[in-house]
Amino acid sequence: MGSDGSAGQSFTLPFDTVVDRFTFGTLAGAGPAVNTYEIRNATGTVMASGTVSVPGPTSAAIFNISPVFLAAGEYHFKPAYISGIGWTHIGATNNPYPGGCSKVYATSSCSGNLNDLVFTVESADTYASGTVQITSPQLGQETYEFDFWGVHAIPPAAESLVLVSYSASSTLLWSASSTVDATFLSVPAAFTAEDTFVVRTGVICVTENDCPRTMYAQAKLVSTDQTTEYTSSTIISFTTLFSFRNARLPGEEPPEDEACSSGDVVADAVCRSVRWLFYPSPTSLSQWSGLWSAVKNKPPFGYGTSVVLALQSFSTSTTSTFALAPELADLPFWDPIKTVISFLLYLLGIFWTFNRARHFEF
Amino acid sequence: MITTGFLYLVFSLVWAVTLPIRALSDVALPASFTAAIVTAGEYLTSVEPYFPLGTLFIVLGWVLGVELAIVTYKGIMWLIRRLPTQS
Repeated sequence: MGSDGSAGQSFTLPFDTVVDRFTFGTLAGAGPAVNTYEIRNATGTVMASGTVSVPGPTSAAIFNISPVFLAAGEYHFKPAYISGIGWTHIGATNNPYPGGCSKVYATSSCSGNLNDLVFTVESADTYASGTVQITSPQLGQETYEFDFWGVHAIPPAAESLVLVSYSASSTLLWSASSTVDATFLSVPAAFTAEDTFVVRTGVICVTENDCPRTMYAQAKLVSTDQTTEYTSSTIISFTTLFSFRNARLPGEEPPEDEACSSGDVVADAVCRSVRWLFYPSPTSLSQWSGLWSAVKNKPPFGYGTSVVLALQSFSTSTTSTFALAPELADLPFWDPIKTVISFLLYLLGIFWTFNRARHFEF
Repeated sequence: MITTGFLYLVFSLVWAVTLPIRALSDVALPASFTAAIVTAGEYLTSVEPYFPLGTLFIVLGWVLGVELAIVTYKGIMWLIRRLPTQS
């Protein structure tokens, strides 16, 4: 990305900019010239330097420089004249920082000549406008897979996409992370990352309390040390399977069966035998939810599912392009009237239920 | 083992019976249907300031639930009466 600016003008560059050109549009009277340049940071450290040939005479002197990526901060571009036609070198030493004419200028006057340029590279925190998105996992018995992707401007260092999950009470249950592929770190383009998390069942739920039927997940883009959060996805919800319950952490011993631990060896043996014979395994129960998932979108069940989904959006509709006598809607007597109507509707429902039960034939 | 085996057996039968259904494509309602639902919702929303729609839906849901329970009960009883020795 080039940087256009007249002499002495300061400007701001986006965070992921690679600087490869400076254009001085107000230069007049300059012939072909050879110049050196330096880019220094605020403490005077040289970040880039080189020699460029400026064509001329022209109204614009273009410094095509070797591309350089600059982290967030303030920088100074310092051109310096070496030789050429119509140029005069008056700077004796490196004139460090901006203001007035420095080392290269046209012979006509100092005003409007090449000066040090001050520019700022924005920080990632302020420039961050990317998003991280996540999709709900498909129901599975052993693992859940989350697809997520992000579009974000990132610094030239390793970053992580972190997937975290919350229970209904917003308690962090588990987290996982994936380092963004290094190819996404190439500048200046913002990266687009796609990745998949595979979460083992046993890692998510240890006890039944840890294992609500509905769980929540969120993807975040954070710095590698996880001290800076750049952006995060919306929180999605998904339904767990019954087999999630009472799962164990890897290497954890199974809990002692309290149902058959009375201390009587014979009774416990009989108890365990009966349980082995008649107690259904979790898998034999959880497979039924998978069956419903497999057919709920197929005909004829899919028609009912689709209608229910449509009606759910219908009942949650809060905006309306129609308004029925809006000038009357704010009148104060509607609330007590609605309360009376609600009471009558409930009363009607109770009366109907009672009448239906009274005439029911077993 | 017995209960587990029975559940697996029943599940296998149901899985086999639903095989033709699972082989079908997913249902996709026409966009006009969804649009009609949304439009109806917008009309109803305009009535909300003057009428307790939430209460109406609760009572209607209760009525439908009761009727569904009655139909289910009668269906089960009809099946039981088909068994031998049952009248």
